[in-house]
Amino acid sequence: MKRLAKTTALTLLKIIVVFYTIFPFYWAIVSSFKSGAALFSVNFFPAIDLTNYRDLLTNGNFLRNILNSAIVAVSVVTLSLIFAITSAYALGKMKFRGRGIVLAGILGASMFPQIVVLSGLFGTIRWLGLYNSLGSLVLSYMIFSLPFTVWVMTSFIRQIPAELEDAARMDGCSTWAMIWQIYFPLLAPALASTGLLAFIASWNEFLFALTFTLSDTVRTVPVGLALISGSSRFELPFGTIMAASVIVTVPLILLVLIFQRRIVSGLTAGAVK
Amino acid sequence: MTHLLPRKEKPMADLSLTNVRKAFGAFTVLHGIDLKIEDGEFVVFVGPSGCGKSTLLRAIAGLEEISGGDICIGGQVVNHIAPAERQIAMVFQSYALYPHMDVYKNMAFGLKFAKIPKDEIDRRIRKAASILKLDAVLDRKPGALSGGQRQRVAIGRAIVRQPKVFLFDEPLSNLDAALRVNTRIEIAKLHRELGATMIYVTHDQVEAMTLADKIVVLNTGRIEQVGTPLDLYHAPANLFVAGFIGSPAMNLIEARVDTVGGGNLQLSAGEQKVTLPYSGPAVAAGAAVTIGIRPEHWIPGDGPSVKIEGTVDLVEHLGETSIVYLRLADGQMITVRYPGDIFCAAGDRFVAEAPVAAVHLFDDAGQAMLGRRSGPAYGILGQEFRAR
Amino acid sequence: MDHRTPAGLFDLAYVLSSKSRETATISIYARQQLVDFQDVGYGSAVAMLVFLMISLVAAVYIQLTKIRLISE
Repeated sequence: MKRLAKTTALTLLKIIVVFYTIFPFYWAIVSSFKSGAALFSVNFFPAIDLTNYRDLLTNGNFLRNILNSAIVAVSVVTLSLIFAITSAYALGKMKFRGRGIVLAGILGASMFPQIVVLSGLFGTIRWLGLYNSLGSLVLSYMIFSLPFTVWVMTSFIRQIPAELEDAARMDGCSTWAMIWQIYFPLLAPALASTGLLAFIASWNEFLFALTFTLSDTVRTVPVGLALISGSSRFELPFGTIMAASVIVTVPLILLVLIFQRRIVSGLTAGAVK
Repeated sequence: MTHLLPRKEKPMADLSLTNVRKAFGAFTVLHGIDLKIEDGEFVVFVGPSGCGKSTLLRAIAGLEEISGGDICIGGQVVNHIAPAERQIAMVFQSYALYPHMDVYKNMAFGLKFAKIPKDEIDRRIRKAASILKLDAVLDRKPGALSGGQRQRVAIGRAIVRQPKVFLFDEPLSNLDAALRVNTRIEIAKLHRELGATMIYVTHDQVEAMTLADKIVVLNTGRIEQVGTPLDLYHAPANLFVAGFIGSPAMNLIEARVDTVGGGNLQLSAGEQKVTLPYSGPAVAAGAAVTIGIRPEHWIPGDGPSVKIEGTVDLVEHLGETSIVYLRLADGQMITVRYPGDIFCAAGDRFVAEAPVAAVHLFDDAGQAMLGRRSGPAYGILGQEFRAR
Repeated sequence: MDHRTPAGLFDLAYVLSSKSRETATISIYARQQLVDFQDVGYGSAVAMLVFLMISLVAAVYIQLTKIRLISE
């Protein structure tokens, strides 16, 4: 009896959690098919009307925003992973004085809220002449993607047995070849998952994107989305915004589904013993 | 089986270590190692864990920078030469195969860096694979291989490099007992076939005794003794080697010199008196010495013998041998191993007898005082074998 | 990243109620001073205050839970 109550409570809790996380997205999809006054009537299964989507996809700015987001996110991921794997090699495999301090420093840097670095970063970006360009976003996003990727990669690279590197040295492998021909393939699953997280974070970032870009042509999707305005000052085009949200979320879901298959553990099985 | 390299083309691969030292900070691991290894020799480094044997091997490989001294391979000082250019190959304890490459690529990896032409790489790999019976698994990744196959891939990766010197770092310790014996025999065969110089690190004295032309016993970063397996067994230079080589370990009985003279030493161990013929350097009466007798040498012979009396503590019957643990009057324990069965029980009085020719003697510094000893001869058997 | 959002909570609050004083978070307030009012000094001071508060909480947390951040 007690057991039944426990199971029921647990199931109920699961339903609530799933509802809490899925429903907003479902509601966004539903709303994206509506327009005008229909938005404010509760209807869980409206007819599928793609007007909002057609409007968005013929709107040059929105497509441009998506392209910008993609450029920024891909650049951030690529650069972060290159820096992360090389730093991780140094921090995880080489012995030098102050290694602990460097690691602690990197972790400390990841604790800064974005707002703390905003003013300093703003000055730096102006000074570099990157204001209102995609470069400003790539640079600033690396601030939060690097500490995370470096830490994760360092802990992964430490688990790779030292004898593997010894064997590669005996085979005449240089440090550079070691990183790219031994560690890079072995770390591929970890790279895929951390890269994915860095991609999502860059794709969703709002504060820096809002502050460092000005014109429509360099805006990324989150800012573009927030600034979508209706036909009059007093009407917020929720239908269009919801359609945009759905379009923006789809790539993330696809990426997760694709990489889920590639994030296989146990690639290193059989390396030793 | 064919030779990978015709012997006449084989480069000279002798190796000499001169005063090789290694320290990690204030902690010294190797205190000046001097060693010569001849071309084609199979040398085994043995010693307890932490004795520096692996560090010495890694120093030869070039994986550890040495703090002093010289390492010469084939007459060339290699102290500052990168591991890959020392013309050596190493087989690691954990095999250290590249998990993301198939067997073929694992073996080709080093050759690629050495800029060896593709068809030559292919030829060498096919040959090594056929010697090691790996033909069928060349396209498999290490994860899909058995332990024994992984071990052979690791050896194959070394063979294709055609090195002057092979280094093995406890290569059998991850295999189960049956496979270990097989692989040991394979390695011995490989050494015969290739005629290459091999250095092998192990803590297993059976591997050392069976494989080695020459054994190097290391302890706390120093060489205790270098010699053939039988040298170490019959003429251990000191207490450490005496206790380390042989299983069960040699009985070491503390004693005192009573009188010297007439070509004899009178010793007493507790109440027991022992007389040994002696013609070595002068010994003072009253000096502390250690008597060493191997458990398997307590077999009475025809000549003069040493008798020790004790109480049986425990008897173990192993079928082919029986092991009797004796407690002497002063509390010291000795182990006696007899071929076949022995009929005694705990609490019995027991007199163990060994020929004086099998008795080792060490001075209070632990150095051997007598020359080469010989165990009791299983006369008839030995002669019969020799006659055939 | 996601784990940093709560302390510096910005985007949700900004989008939902950008200029309302009652729901403005500290991040919105700081950005308003920095960007909208161009008062870099005051805005930075606010930001530093946020940082100090977070450091304090983190330090106390690390002390209390005895987490070992760097394992050598």
